[in-house]
Amino acid sequence: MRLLQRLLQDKPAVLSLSIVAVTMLIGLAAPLIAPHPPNLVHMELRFAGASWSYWLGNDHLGRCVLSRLIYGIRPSVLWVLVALLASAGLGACVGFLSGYYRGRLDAWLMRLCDVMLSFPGYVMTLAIVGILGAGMTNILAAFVLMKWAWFARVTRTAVMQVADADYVKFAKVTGASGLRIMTRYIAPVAAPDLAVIASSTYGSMILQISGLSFLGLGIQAPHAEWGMMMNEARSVMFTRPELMLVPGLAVIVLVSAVNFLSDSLQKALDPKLMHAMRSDKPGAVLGRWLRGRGRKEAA
Amino acid sequence: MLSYLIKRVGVALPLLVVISFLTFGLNQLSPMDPAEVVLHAQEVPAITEELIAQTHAELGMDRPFLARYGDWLLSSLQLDFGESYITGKPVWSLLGPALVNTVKLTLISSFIIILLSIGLGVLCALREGKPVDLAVRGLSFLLTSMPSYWLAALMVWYFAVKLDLFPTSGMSSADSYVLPVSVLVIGYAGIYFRNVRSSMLSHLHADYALYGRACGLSERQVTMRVLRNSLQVSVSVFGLAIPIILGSTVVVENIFAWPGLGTLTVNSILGRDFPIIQAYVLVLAVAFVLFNTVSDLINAALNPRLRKEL
Amino acid sequence: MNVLEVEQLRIWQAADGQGQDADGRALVSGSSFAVKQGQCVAIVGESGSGKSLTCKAIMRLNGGSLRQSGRILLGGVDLAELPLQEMRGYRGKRLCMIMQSGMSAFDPSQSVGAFLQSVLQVHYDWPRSQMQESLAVAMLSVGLREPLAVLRRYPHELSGGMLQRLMIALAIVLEPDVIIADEPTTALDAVTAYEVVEQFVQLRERAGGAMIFVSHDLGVVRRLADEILVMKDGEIVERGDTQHIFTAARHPYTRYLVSSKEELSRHYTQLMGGRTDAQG
Repeated sequence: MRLLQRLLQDKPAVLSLSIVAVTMLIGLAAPLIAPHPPNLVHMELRFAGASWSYWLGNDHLGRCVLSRLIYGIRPSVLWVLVALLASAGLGACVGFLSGYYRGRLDAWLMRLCDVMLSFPGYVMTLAIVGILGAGMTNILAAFVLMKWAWFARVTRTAVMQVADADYVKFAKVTGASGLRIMTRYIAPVAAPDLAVIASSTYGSMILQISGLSFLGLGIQAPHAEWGMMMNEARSVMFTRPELMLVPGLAVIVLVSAVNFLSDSLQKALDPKLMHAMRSDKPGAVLGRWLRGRGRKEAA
Repeated sequence: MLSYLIKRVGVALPLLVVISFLTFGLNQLSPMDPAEVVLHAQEVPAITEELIAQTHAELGMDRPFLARYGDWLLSSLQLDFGESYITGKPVWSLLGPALVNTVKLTLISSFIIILLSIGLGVLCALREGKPVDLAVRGLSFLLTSMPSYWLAALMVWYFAVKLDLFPTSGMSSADSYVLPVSVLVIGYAGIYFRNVRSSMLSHLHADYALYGRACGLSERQVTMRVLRNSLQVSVSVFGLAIPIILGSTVVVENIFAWPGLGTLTVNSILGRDFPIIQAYVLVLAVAFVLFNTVSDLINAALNPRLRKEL
Repeated sequence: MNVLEVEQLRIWQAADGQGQDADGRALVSGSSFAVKQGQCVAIVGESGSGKSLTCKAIMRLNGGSLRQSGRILLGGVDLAELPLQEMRGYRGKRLCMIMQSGMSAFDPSQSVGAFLQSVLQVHYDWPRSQMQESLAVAMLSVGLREPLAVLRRYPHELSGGMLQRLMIALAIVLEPDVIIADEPTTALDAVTAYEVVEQFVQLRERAGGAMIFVSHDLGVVRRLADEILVMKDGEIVERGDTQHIFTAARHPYTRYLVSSKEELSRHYTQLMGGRTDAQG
């Protein structure tokens, strides 16, 4: 896990990682942390400002904004993560099979990927939601359907690069089974690339899904979700801007952290991207640089 | 070059056919019977089995799948996508004008996005690590982590309401373009400028740049060559940008009540108006494939090396 | 007569916010060497030993966060003190570099002829026809047939060996004081490498200038060099003339390099039945 070590040296990366991790934990433990039930209506408290019992005030139905924010982590962040993992997992499997076994299987799978990739993602998502109807599961299913082809392509490229290496050929010759080769030799090399790609799409997925909820196509009322909260706040945007502000800031902070983390992951992976990195210890910098040079000269 | 052109177009055509097939087939996945949708829209009080069967016959839904597909494909080529389930009007009469409105928005935005991305990307690459570079990158990072509708709402609140400079919604005058275009530009230029910058950087540090300098070429001469090479990469990225933006204006149109494709589609989705959804997907997928093909061709024309790959 | 003298060349990586101060280990620490007229000095060592950095430093091509100090005297002028504008005049004309990978050295977006002409335009005032002519003559002498046709080609249409020879041809036309070759044969297959090395031998004989040849292939070095510098981890650990290095090296690292090479050659010779035609 040298990757993790390198990552941990980068202090801002550690900060981003903590933000993301803490947010996810809060979301998971929502029933334990949220001060009030998120869907409990108190019409007498409509648009109440911040108070001791309701730290972020109440929305247009008197519900606790903070609790809704916390419960909203689940669809906005956690379920999106599940969709991402499903999509990446599916894509990785296809990519592995395609890149390792090659031949007709590869040709057909790649043709399938090409077709999937030739549909603009957003359009297809809308189409699927349009056919199946609005709802969170449909949106997430649409996303998985859209993205897997891209992950498959990336994985396939990574696998092909490794599969041609001599040590893999040697393993094949000595009789190691396909599965063993894939897990022991190829996965460790392909996994980091996949991780970087996956993390870089996570941020945009969160934004897109909250956008669809904002349009009313995502999670349905009365459930809490950040995009939906902003949709509900739209009508009172000018009189009660804080209702729009709070979920917005939550999204911004989280997506910034995710994007920053993804960038750091990429830099930690690729010593050649050193120019952009402002590093801490010169020794570590030098070591990375030399390793990068070594790789370049030996190539 | 000619053989590449033929081959490339040859790849695109079957793709279009497959896309049309899938788009039409998408309908079949719907859990809701289209006949019911039509009847609902007509506000028929009691929906009986016979009524459904009757509607099926009227709309020609009892015919075999391939026959229906063939009909639909042929008439689509003539821009006849059938009638809307909800309003009964021909789909194209609704889709056409909406498409035009969205195209206007997209083209203006794309133009500015491309200029801005290239300008900022090149600037930041040449001044790598300096304050300008850091400032632009930091700002773009922040702006692209924002939901576009949030940014839009903020801008509407500040510029349209507080300062009363622009209309808050609608597509009435030249003024009304400013805010929606700004939101789109901020969102996308932030992403694309990064592409241009990293491409430019990798070329600035490439071997041929080094050799050029080693032979005595001035930095300006080297930069011109680097620019030429790295922008070639950008062509394909920007080529795809236009259809992507075309399909992603949904949220912006929603906030600004822009009478475009996005608004139409969202309403159709909420109303389960399948013919419109179908036509929308087909039109955009075709646009996507077309732009993809054209940008590949332009790329091959600029970079002879690519003509061998297919 | 020393054509090029390098004194106490030091290269280090500057962390942000720090000026000329060296921090931590230097990439190249205090190298000094000289190249005489008509002499070929080889720098050998593993990847990462600082060979390429040294070459680039002589031409002041190290950019980004790399800093250097030390004197670089070319015909008495300290290159390290020259303003960049003047330095550019020296690059190509007085110091010519030949790079490792011909494939990536040329601008992919223009024909090689166009590139070579723009280089010549920087240093000479010749009309186009004269440029083409001198290039053609040089190209023929390095074994590139049909020079005018080759000049019209794009880099990706030519092989690595041909591009390598083009770089040598350019060096012939420019007639520099010092030719710096940075691992020119590393990216080539054995046969092409042999031919290119022969070109370098001829270049040495006709140009009479000085040459710095960087390589990690001792066989090539043996063929070409008068003096050898062995670098390890940024330091010159041994220097001496070729004969001496190959037979009686003092530093254990040099011995190790030589013996590994000898080991392979010996084994090969045995397999081939005791005959060694190619000692290069």
